[in-house]
Amino acid sequence: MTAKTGKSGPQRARAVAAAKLAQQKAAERRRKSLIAGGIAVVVLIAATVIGVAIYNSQKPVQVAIPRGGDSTGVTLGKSGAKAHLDLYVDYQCPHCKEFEDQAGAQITKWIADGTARVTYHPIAILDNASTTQYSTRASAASACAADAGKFAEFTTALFAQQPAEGSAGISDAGLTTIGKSVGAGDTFAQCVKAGKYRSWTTKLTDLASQKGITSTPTVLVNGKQLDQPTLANLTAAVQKA
Amino acid sequence: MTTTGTAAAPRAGRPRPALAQVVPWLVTLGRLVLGAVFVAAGASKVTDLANSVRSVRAYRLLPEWAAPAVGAGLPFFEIALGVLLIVGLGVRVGAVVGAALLVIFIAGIAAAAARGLRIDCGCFGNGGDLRAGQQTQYLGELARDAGLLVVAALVAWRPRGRVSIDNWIHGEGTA
Repeated sequence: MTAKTGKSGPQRARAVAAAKLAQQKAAERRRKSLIAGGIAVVVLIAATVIGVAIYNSQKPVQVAIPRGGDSTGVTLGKSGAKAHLDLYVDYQCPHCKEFEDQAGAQITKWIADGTARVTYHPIAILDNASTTQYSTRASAASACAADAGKFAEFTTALFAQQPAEGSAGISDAGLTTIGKSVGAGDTFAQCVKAGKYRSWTTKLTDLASQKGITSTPTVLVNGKQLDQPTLANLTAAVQKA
Repeated sequence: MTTTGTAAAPRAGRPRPALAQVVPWLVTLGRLVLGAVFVAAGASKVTDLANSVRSVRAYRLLPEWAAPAVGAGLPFFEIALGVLLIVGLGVRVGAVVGAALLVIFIAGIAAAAARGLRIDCGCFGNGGDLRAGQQTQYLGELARDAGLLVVAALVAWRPRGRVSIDNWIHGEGTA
């Protein structure tokens, strides 16, 4: 509505000046908004980059490997066995305990008579289900037990005494006591205390996740996943192997 | 200066006075709610980045090279976005980015539901597959994100609320 023709000189000049001022103000507003928006974008990008950097720095670089194991788990049984079982379990997972209660004895028998070779992958995906990261601590302790040659016994004992979800889990001292009860010695106690295999647990959990294994228990027989991890399904699959 | 008679200022396209008073405060409230939710969501994931990465993988949408970047970057991104919205810096950018993020979340959850995956959205940590017996919460998760999307849209539409750094930058005081 400015600078209409037919107005007197000073009036027109005032109108033009006002329009110019308004324009300048608008440009100034835009500039300031751009600065604010630009700062916001930079902050967001920086935060993301920092996050990825922290994640990469947390990744275990060198992982200690327990006796009889590799970076994915611990293997038990003779190498000529016709069936290879992969068991993905979390020591905090109630259904893993159910599976162990159901099938544990049979699996032990298969290992002993050479029917099956079994790789346990004690992944830690339920750290949030205890207040002390019991999943990770139990898994790391199981590797200490493997060093002592007592992995299977320790695993059975841990599932037998599985702590409730949401609790503080079993303390490191408690894990040491359980280890001793199955015959693991002082080296085991030190290994648990030092958290020697925590990075091993982190590594194998990540590797399992990369394979698309996100729930426990997951059971594979010669690479083929059981629909439902029950003793009946497992027995059928092993007999077919 | 009363607004009697002929001298009434033209205010076409402007909110009426009562609304003009309320909207900026509503925008501020929306900013705070949205910001608080993003900070809470980010903070719940930031303490276990490995879990966050696993949650992303559980959607089975991204290739392996991208999952760590999203899983580890997102919690920090969310916290930064939340803080920007709360202090009111670059509010329009923040609201638009927040809305875009919510659209992505809604698409991701809907995709998981459509493919019959049984996962927790991992929105506030604890992602990944559900244990047997646990129910999926897709409808609730979608409804929450849709509600937040409406709030983000309001803030993006009128980013200039009360009490923000943007106001201070524009020399209007922080109020």
